[in-house]
Amino acid sequence: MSLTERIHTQNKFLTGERDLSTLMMDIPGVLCKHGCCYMACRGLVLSPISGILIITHGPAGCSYYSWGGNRLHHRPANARHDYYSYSFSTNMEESDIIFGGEKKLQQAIKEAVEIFHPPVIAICSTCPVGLIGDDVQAIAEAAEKEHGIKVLSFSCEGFKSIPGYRLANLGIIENVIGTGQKNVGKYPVNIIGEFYNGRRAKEIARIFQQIGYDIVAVLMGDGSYDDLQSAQQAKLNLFSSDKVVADLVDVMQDKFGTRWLRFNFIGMDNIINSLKNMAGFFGNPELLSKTEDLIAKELERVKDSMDNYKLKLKDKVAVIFEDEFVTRHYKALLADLEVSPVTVGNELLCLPGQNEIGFLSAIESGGNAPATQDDTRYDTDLEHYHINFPVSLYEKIKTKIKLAHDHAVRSNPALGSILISNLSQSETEQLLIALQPDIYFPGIKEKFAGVGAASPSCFFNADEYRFDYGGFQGAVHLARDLLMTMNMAVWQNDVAPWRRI
Amino acid sequence: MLDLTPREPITRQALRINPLAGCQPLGAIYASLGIHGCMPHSHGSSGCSRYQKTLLQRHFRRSFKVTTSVLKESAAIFGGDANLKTAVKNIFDLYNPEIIAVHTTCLSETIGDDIKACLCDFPLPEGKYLIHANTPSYTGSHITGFANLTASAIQYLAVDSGSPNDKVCILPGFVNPGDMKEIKRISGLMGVHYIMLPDTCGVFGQRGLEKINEYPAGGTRVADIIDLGNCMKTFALGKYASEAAAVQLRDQCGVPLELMDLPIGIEATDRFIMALKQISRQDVSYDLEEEREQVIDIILDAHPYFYHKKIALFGDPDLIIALAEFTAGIGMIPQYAVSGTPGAYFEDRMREIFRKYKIDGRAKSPADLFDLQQWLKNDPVDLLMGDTHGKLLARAEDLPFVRIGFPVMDRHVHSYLPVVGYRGAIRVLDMILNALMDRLERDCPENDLVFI
Repeated sequence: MSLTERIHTQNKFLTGERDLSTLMMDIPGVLCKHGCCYMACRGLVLSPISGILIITHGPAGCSYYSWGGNRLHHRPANARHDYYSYSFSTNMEESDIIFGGEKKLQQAIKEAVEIFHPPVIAICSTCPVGLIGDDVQAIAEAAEKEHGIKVLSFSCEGFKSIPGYRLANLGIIENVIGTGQKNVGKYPVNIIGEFYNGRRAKEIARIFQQIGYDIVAVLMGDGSYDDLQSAQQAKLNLFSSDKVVADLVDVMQDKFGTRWLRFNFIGMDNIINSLKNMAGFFGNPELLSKTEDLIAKELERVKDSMDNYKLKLKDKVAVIFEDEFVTRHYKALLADLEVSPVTVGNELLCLPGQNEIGFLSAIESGGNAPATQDDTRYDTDLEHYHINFPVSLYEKIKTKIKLAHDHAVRSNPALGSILISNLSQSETEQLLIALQPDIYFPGIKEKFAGVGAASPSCFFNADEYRFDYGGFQGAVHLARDLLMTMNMAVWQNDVAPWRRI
Repeated sequence: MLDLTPREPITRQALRINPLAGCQPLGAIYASLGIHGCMPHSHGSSGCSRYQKTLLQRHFRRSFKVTTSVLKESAAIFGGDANLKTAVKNIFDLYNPEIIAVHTTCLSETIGDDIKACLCDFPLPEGKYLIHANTPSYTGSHITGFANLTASAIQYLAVDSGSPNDKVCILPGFVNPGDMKEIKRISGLMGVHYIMLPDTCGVFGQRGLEKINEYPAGGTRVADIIDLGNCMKTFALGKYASEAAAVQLRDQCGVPLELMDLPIGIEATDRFIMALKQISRQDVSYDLEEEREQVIDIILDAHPYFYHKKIALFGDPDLIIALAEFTAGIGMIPQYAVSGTPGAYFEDRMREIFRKYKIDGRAKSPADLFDLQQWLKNDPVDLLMGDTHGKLLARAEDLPFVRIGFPVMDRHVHSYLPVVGYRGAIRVLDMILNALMDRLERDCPENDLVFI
């Protein structure tokens, strides 16, 4: 079986599980960006929850790498139990691997309790623990009794196939949510899957407060253990994850009757739709009018800068490689700025009875992930690319390009775009050069280093440079960053004078 | 931020708080990248290589390739052999490296995969190489992994063909590309022909690579690693990172070795240059003499600022030993020295330095940053030196902080510049002086703030 066929088969198998994140390649020896079960369990779900002391049960390496890796900007409700600046592990050594690490774990819990007096301890197991068979669950139960605190255990060994965030969230739904009560407002909501960005959380809180929503708890974001205990009191779960964890909100709905809505805080249309859907869910006319007022007010606030940036970005060509889920965010933001991107990808989604369409574009046009049916086909072909761009651009370049074979060129009048499929790497490069892009987004550089090396590119995680692309201001921030990158004087000096043609 | 650390000394038996070192595969990847055309391959779960790659990328601020065996449950039960074979085949097919450097992880080591047995009948493509190192994460640290991979590169490749090449083998230790470049420059100025392993100059951020299966221009060539067997001598810089490889080369090809400290500071650089001089029997070049003079002048000019200032040092053992000697030699007091890498040599060597300079200091290895914070709470110092992870400590204990070592993830530029040699000494002095003097000026009364 060829590599392409293998990937194909694997994808088919994986889509059967409805987990689109695993669509990304997972084959030994093929470059992949995958993390592991521990990484997601600890990093995405548990680390952001303030008030939990997390002990990594395993060699010290995993606790070293997962220490303070994400930018939360969180302000803990209770500084006495804020362990975010610490990293704890049992530091398993060779003798523990041979004789078992249970005693060491017991001792580590005891020491953590004596030094830090935490209300909750979570134990995250790493790879070797699962293999040597430490009974972490039993130790957690015994420690709970001995020390009179809550001890959660997560068997998130890195080799496990179950996504770590799912394992952790299920654990929290099972053991944490529903153990507390607090006073909540008239419209209580939870936010689930608002990934690791405290700035966005702040912006969401600002908007919700103005409309009158009360955020009860946040999972996979800037949350706290105390809040999570009473998360069942929310009437609505706002689910805004890039990964497909829909079954988690279903679990919550079954257990606590909490209904859920998809919620997207990136891109103007997405935000507006999300807010309107929320108001619609509660069905209160006052809430609806408040929502509309707020939307009008926020749009007015950004109008001038948006108009200004739209003018500056007019006719700019942006290239995105469709391999990550953040691609969708870029596209939503670029749409706000009225820039139609050129998208390049390896995957084609063939829906029954339809033409082939770019995989992620398909998800976007439908709003949700496509339901997987037996006759739905994903074509992944590492050696061939599909390129999708606005018709207007195609008219400009079509005389300049010479393609080796007759490629299928399909136009989609509704979207005003053209799709050229099954291009080789060099043909794709030729096309990209002809398109003369002004900016590249991540992903493209690694695949087409020859084209992208000396051109501006943009990183999605602008948080390092102080801004977030979520919220009503998101597109403004992106536009500002795009122009900053494009206009950087260094591009004029990028090629040494003795190498200029 | 780190507000919960108590002042009262606590002895811990099991809990490791705020670790100071990564695991072996991290160092193994860095060493592999120092081989030209090499694809580092992590035989473990996908998260291992992702974590280590992220850390290295944050330090060097450049991307590179690492592959993984993506071990899952089935591998935990049936072993990872099938995954490894598939991986090696895919890597050669897709990315066409000259050499694959496989390293193990705690997962594959606990499963008990025998890499050598698994790959012994693998049909290597013509002119391609494959090496492997056992790097279980539950022993040692990233420094150990670095040492193990370097040693195994020699074990697999180096051959004594009987025709001496009149070169020396330089094992630079776990240092930045900027340091390796400086070590090469000094060796060149001293007229010594050398082969350096690993050599990460020109490896990170090489522009103009056209395809996914192209590799940066930098790195030690495989032919040169084979030729190591014909070297006349090995200079192993840093016991922890370089001794294993030097010993391997001695046992395998009879190349005598000289174990040295990292050439950081005046004395260590002097020793390195004298050793090079013995090889080439050449006069020390004017450039080096001038640089040395500059270091001495700076120390003389600025000695009131250094004198009896206490420092806490943390990081990789080779670096900390060299820094402790350097700083003690200019009148500072390296009060605390901690390292996350296990091994008795660190404490012994630190005691020697303490004795020589009559310092009532404390050294511990393996230790963690929680230990250091407790010490600082009881007896503070004037300056903190170490990797990025110290920034929380610097804030919590309100100390001026110099970033040095690995990883420095929150600053730019550093990996291009050396800390070794006389030029490196000038840079270290610059960093220390700026940190101390900025703090002095931040805290002094307004009318003491003068231009001169």
